[in-house]
Amino acid sequence: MSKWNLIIKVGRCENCQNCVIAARDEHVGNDFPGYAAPAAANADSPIRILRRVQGDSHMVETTYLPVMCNHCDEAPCMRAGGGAIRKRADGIVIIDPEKARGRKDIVKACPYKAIVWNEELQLPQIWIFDAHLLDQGWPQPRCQQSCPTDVFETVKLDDGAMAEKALREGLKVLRPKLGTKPRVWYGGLERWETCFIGGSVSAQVEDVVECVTGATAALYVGNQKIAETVSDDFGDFRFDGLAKDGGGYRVEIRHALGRAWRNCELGESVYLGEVRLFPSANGTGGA
Amino acid sequence: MRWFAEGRRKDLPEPAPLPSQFSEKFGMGLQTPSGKLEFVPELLKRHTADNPERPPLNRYIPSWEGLRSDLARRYPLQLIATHSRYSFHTHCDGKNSSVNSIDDHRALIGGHRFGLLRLNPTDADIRGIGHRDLVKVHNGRGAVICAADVSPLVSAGAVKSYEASAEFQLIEIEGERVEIGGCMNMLTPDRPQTAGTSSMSPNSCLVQVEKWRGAEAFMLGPAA
Repeated sequence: MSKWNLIIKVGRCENCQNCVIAARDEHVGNDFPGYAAPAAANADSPIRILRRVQGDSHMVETTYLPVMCNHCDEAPCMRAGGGAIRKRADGIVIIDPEKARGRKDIVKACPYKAIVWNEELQLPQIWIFDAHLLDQGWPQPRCQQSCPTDVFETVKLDDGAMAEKALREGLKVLRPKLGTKPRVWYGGLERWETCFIGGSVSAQVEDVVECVTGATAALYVGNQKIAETVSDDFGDFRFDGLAKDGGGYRVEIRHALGRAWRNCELGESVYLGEVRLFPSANGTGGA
Repeated sequence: MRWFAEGRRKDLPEPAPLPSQFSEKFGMGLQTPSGKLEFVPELLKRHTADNPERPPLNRYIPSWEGLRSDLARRYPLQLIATHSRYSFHTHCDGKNSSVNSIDDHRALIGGHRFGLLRLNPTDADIRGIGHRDLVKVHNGRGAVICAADVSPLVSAGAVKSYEASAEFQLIEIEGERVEIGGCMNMLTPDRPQTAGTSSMSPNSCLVQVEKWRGAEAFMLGPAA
């Protein structure tokens, strides 16, 4: 049995909010019996875009993460909701607009905060994967249709094929340890979850401070070198893919113009700023 | 400009070709008095000699309301008020539109949707401002209450908002009159960017920012 999955490519979202507005446009004031009651204009949006800003000027990186109902196979809301929530054979979770009336407790059941409360109708509501449109033959939900940067990819596959695709393409789900088995997958989630340490290498050359291209930057934990990179034409270097709250790191930089080092404690990403080289004692800067 | 470089008659289609624009023969040369490229424009030399803000030859002119102005001692932050990202000027802003509900367009605090003011963590910290706190953005022209958006996406010393607001809502709280619709045009100068031209100046604006009361105080305000 093939089932619906949504793949979100993390680095591609630039926060235009078209998906958010499209979902509002589809549901606010529109009734789709059997799928969803009209959404309230003043309720929270069932699709949200989260923001993460790493580093500091000028090495600053912003990542936007669209989040919505994950249509989990082991959905915590279904355990809480009893008969008020059902899972269709194609994987889509539907909160029954009649049976779920008054069930504010269902909102709290979702660990992803994907269920919004419609105060007017006293209903918990979600992004329904645009099931009403897919059932009419649409190949994709409106979030994908309205996205100008191809963030979304909708695929209908059986679970085995989807697992293979996820493995092949490095797709992950949000908070996998919860065991909820989401049907919304993320590609490039490292950008959301990992950190970087970066800096900009400079040196005094006669009476001018220059960016230093081609300086070797090495990253150490204790005495162990774990990565090495080279500064670019602007003197910038960057170590990616480090774990959040990774503890103490030491960066050592060497170049013919001199050497420098910095210690840092990694909670969130760190931009070390300008790192000025000092001429080494032997004049060559070699190590 | 190939036609000009090769000394040909202008051979590009024009909706309304005007012979009067050309000084010698119609279609020959550029539409300057000399018919040539003018690094020091003849027209400016003729017409703006009395306007120090429009020298014929481009040069640096210090901002009349910038971080080096005397005013910066009282209002030390440079406000950049750009076009809105999620509304087209005031179209789709306010008026109960769905765009209003976009968190990065307006922030819902205490039942009211405030415009956003982006500022750097350094500027926020020294003022005790947290993300999505209400802040008062003010200068001699007025005071606007915004919701703070704290991130390093704005340099320290600058703050950023949108320039268009479909809302204008002056309220008075304890004798103080503030605007809560996000109408930053209250704060920006009325003068053109360059004297004698049509050029708005939403980015030559100095302000001070301070943490405002909590949303609770605001909710009591309009009811009073």
